[in-house]
Amino acid sequence: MRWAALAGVLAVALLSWGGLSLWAAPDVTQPIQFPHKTHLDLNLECTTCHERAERDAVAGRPPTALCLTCHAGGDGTGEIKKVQAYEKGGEIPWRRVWRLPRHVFFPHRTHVVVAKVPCQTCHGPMETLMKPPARPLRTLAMDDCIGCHEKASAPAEKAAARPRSTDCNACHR
Amino acid sequence: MRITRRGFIQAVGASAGAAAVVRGQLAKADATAGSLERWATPEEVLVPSICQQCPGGCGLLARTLDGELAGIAGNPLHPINRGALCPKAFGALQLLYDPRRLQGPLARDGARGRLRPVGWDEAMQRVVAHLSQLRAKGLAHTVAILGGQYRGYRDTVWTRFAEAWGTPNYVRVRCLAPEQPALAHQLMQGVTSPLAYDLAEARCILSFGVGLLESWLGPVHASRAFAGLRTGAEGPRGRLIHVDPRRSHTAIKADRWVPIVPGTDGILALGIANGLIREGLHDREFVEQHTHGFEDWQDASGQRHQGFKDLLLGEHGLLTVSGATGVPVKTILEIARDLATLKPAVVVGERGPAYGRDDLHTRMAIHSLNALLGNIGVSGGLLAQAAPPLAPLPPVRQDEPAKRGLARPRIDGAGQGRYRLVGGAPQVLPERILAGEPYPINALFLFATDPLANHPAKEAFARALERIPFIVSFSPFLDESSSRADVVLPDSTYLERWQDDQVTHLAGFSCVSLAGPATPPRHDTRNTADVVLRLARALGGSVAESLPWERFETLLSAGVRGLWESGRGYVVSTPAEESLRRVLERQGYWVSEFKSYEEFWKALVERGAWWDPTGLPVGRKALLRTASGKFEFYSTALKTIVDEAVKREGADAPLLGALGGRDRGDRLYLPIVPLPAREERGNFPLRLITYRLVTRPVGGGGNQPWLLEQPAVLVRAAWERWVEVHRETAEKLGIADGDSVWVESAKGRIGLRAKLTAGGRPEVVSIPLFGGEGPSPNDLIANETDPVRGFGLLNTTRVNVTKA
Repeated sequence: MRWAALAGVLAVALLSWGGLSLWAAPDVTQPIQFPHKTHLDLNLECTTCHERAERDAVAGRPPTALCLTCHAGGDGTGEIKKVQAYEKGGEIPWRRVWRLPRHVFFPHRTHVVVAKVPCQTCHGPMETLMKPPARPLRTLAMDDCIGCHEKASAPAEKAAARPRSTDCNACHR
Repeated sequence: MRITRRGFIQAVGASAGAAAVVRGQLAKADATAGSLERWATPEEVLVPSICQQCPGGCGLLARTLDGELAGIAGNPLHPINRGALCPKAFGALQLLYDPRRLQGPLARDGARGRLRPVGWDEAMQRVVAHLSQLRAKGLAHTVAILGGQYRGYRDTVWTRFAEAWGTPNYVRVRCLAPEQPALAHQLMQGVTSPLAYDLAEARCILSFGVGLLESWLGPVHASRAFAGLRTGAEGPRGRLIHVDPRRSHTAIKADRWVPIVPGTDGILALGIANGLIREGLHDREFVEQHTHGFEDWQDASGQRHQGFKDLLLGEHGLLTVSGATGVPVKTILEIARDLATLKPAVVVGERGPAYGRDDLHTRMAIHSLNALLGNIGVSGGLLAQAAPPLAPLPPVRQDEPAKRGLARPRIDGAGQGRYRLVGGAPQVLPERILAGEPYPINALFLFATDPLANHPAKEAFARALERIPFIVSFSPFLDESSSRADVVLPDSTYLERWQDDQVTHLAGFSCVSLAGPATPPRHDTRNTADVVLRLARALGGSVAESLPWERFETLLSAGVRGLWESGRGYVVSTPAEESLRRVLERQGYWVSEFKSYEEFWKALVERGAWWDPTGLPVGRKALLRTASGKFEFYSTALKTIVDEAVKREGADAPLLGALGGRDRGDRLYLPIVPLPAREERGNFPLRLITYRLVTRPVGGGGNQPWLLEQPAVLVRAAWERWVEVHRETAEKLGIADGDSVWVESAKGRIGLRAKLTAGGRPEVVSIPLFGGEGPSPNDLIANETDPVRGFGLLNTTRVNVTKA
């Protein structure tokens, strides 16, 4: 009986651990050790490479052709050679790190172009990274969104180009 | 009352006198009232004319009152400006009525004595006698003609005179020749007529430092095209992207202004090309089917050549381009995307001042963007109009002395050696004349140019003029150069003489303007074209036979007859009539408006211009006249020229050195601009840029006060002379707006008023070309010659600015 109880506790612990592991995002390993710091130190803007952030809802990852506009020639480091190897081998298989829950609609263009929210507000201090992040630097909760959207009631914000809504349907699908 | 005999006679006399006085006064009063009425209602006649203040070719209506010129307005029928004018046009009145105009010919007493007024016959006799002596000694080639900015039949007269007389030294002083194709267009497309940028139909214009709304080839036509781009009723609003180190008038009107490190325009063009190719935005079909040298290729001997694409993508990565040009990578990519998505797009890279030391390859790189966009021979892109069908003139007759003279090398070295690619190299004239290379000059004609005011080496030019025994000037003013002349035969201003203008560089139509004198010459001046015709008659022989026309208007009439006989085009008329004719012509009908040539000529003079709006623009095939019949990224024409030079002059051929040397390999013939080496700033940390204000005509217009008082567009200034300094730089130097400053270069220094500007690059200072007397940026600019254009490198001088 004692053994059965112990096995039960162990089973519950294992199930909980497994469940938690499945629920939490696993570490992401990118095919190229992209240093955000090096690029941003060259005065490149985030949207130089993540150009879809200014046009679309999804920021996306830069196509290989865009990397090669700078990295096609010269004696590159190992990582640059990896980029160049993709010139005829298709797109670099970047892996997605940031994910929002399925029920949330987040248009990048509205936030980046219209509201001019700095990318770091949601994505954290990416400009300090010499390697791609294995997981999001910030985990956003609904309070983060609401905290920003509620500023709309402040007098200085009322004259904004587009009012920030706190209506549920503004973000929830 | 007692009436005496004396009293009676006195009374009769007094009455008669009084009556006479009263009657006389009444008659006088009557006459005065008539003249008063006449004075108040003078006869007003509007005479079509052509503005000659810049190469724009705008049509004028000169308002004359009893034959006296009283006003200037735009000719509403003229296709170039449709009644609109820029401020320069109105300066013509002050040009005409300038009290300092010469009253008649002048000639010098003895060798370099005092200039005194003489009659036309005496002045002409002097010129004829001197020229005849030179020809008799076999020195026809030692006569040089220095001409300024003009085109049409005045150029024809001088060209024929030079060819018949026997001198190769007809040198033009101008930074842009609108009637000729740009060298980059010749080398990459093989064209022999100027290409036209179809600005009015384009939806995106990328301009590399071209002052479209200021002083490019006619600001009025460009402004009208710009207005169409912005407010065109059909299609979406177009975009103007302007690349310029200076915050110019065009820059502030543009949708996007891209400040750039001076002289790196070609590198930016290659960065944009990189973006287009990498993102697959270029016109693949055009590039594959109509271009040569884009991909690696193999020639007939089996030798492999690198293609434009691989060289460009390997050497001009966007980070490298951004580092050299100062333009962010994101901006470069966005320009590329704009060009590819807003079609038709056109890239304009043709301007007066050189882009820098790699001017030819810069222009080729800029032009290569047009090929990547596939806009050659496409509406809204690059077009070429058929030349106006003017009647061919009889061939020039050349006698033996003329043939011998023309076989001699040119004094400026154009067409050979280092200057093999240029048609004229006026920059080198002072040193050549002073050195007597390749032979001394014995006579100089100065027409429509004042080198002692405008040449960067004016001191050397002044010394050179002292070496020339006989100088003839045709200036209407006793300007700096004319005051050194031995004979001055003053030209009439353009409102006082017959004139023509042939415009072939505009998209959509070719145009020939014609105008008679709007007013008789105010002084004893003559049309220089008439004077040259008379000179030719006096010289006799084959020279007279080559210029057989009695007067300039006879020559004009002979040439214009071709327009009448061609059976196409129209004398300009109202827009409604033109629309009707266009509809008819599209359906295959062309009906002449006139029954005889005399009627045609009369209408042409009364309305001001002939044009061919429905004449088919030259198609894509005719625009690609290279050896390969394609647009050549790899210019086989340039390769042939260089190979010939190397064969003739060896591996050290000066032309090869001027183009960057054999080490460049295939890059020499491709639009690949080398990255600039780091520049030593030394004591001169700032870069000087000069530009022409929209209110300054050719020559500077120092004698047109209305133009001098026009306020500058971007700084608060009028009348005075100024230097534009960036606010950041001014703050570091302790300079406030309006301070007196010294601008100093290795050549010298000038004192100006500082005007602070915002935006642009802090290391750039700008000075407008003011013209006339006073401190001039030319006093700072080294007399460097661009080996592929023959003109000065005006924007490469480094300066320092200090508080005075």
